[in-house]
Amino acid sequence: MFEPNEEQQELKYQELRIYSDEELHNYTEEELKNFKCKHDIPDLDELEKGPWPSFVADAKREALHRRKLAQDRMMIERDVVEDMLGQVQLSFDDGETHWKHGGIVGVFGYGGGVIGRYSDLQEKFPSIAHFHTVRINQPASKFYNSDYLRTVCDLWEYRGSGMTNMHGSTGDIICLGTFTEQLEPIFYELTHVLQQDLGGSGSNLRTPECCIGKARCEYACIDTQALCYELTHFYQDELHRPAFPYKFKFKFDGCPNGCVASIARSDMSYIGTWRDDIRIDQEAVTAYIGGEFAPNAGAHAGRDWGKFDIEKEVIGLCPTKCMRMNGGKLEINNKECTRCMHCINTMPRALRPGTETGVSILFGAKAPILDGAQMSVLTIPFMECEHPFDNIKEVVEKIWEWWPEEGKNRERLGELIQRQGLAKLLQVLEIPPMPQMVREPRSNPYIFWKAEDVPGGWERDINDYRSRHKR
Amino acid sequence: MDELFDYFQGMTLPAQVRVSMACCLNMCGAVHCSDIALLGYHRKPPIVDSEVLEKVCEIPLVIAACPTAAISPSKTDDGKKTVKIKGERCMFCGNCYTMCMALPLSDKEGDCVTVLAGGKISNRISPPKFSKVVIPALPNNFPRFPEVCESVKKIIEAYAADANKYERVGDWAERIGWEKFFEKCDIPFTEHLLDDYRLQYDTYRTSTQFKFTEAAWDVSRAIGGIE
Repeated sequence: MFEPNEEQQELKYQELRIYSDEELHNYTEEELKNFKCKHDIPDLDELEKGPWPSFVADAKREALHRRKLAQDRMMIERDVVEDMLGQVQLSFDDGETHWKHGGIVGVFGYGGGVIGRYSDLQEKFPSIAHFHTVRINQPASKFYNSDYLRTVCDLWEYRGSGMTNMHGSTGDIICLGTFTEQLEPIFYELTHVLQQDLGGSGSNLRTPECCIGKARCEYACIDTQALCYELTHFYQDELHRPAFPYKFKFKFDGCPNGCVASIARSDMSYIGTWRDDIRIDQEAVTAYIGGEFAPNAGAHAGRDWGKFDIEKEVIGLCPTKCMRMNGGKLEINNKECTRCMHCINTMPRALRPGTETGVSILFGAKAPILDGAQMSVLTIPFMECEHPFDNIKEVVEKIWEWWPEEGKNRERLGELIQRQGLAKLLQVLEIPPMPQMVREPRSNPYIFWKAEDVPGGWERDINDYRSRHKR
Repeated sequence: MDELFDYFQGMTLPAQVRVSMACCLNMCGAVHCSDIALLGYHRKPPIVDSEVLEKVCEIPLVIAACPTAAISPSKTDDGKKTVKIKGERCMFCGNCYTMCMALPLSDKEGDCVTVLAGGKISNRISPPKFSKVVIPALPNNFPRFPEVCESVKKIIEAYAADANKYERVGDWAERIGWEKFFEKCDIPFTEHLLDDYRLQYDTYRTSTQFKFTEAAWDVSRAIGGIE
């Protein structure tokens, strides 16, 4: 049963709201149809055509909404959205962005969470002279109630542009565009009234992120939300006070399907797994074979792929060939299984992950900057994963004793592993090597032997050598 | 998304196809492991704003930031400290610009869209893999990027017609061979697709197992092996 780490007050929109219903619904569809942005934006108008919902259409609604609000109901300029649209059009014309290079702004006591953004055409677009981004730490798996969302939106309308991203790539709620003077009031309101924290930015722990986990997914082997919540709270200092060589990301996937892509984009990737046997419901297997259940939950329903063929579609595609049908029953040689999830994904009503679940931990993923992209290296095959996750925190802290000490400025963990070697990581973690850590053994013999590896060490006497070998 | 709208509505594809986009190679999100990835990329070295560089940037950090050692210290005619850039060494990563605002890279003609294909995150059937560069540069044609849309559609249509059920784009390309991928998608294989960065040799084929496509006959003809 989930227990919050601190007392949680219930947010009620009716008490916290800034705008009345009339103010929220202050324009008609007719007015929207006739709306003209103050800048000429032909290329953006073009993007409204076509079936996919356009950000331009949303931005225009917001621009009209702000035009009709009273001036004293907004703390930054009313035409911020229109200036943003105008600048985007100009960027299209010029083929170059008109946002300046970064800029350091922040809130008192925090080293991250706000990203400075300035227009490089402030005379032409004064209302986006400042256009800072505020990152709000999303709740685990991004579940909200509408009281919360409406309250955040009202706050952002009042003190920002009213425009948001749901969500940024790291998972945060992204509030787009405000002026420096508004940052402290926003920060106060978020933390003191909404009990809501900022996310990470800069050289610190970034906002941890997890998949939807046990809340909604039958594949989840671990409670990703509990782990994400606990580590987010436990490592508050690391989230808000940049003390690292560069960014550090935790991401939590509930199973090897990897829906939050932890293996591709987190320095420390947690992936749920199991160490016992796949659970089989033989009746449901028969039902899949008989066509009663659609394979892969109907994901192929749009085309006729023919009758479901378990031999071809499941057993034949198994990467380890560890399955077979025997007398109408499905058999799995679990010792050979690498838990790729294909059979489970294809027949979720018949097959489920085992019950002895835990987490595999991998280290070192990053995007291409600088030496090319890296995926995380399988390092810890299995670890129990139960609240309060003390065993996992010990691993985190070993890494954080090594990397901040040895890492160069702007060197990600994966680059440090590359520079000092995987063996060094194993020393740091105090674990032995295992063949699972490599795709294949090395093919070069250039081993960096150390003196202590070799009998007798490296100290030798040339005279002794010459006593046996003439020059 | 307008161009691919029907694929969002129907479930006709052999497996899921993730199309992702990043406007620079910082690659927010797992763009580098997507079935199809569109990446904004520079192609002109930074312009040095020597007028302010020494005031706004830490020159040693800027020099250290370059992965190919293309940046070295320099002086302007009037004695200001600045840097100079060896253009032929630049790989256009923009890491120096992250460190120093006096080295902007963006340029209307230079900036382009690079198309990558065949990446995945999931461990299902095959391990996760990176997306591979299949089109080095397409123009930044605002607002609808017709060349990019056309190329993505070509890839998806060839994949949809040819891949097996459950097969991701990358698994399909590996099964048929990348030479067949280029043939079936009708994408030219150009010299820019030959890796010339570190560990480039790892991507070269050191085997006689290959399939004959028109690109192979072109080589044979060029060397005088066939008429």
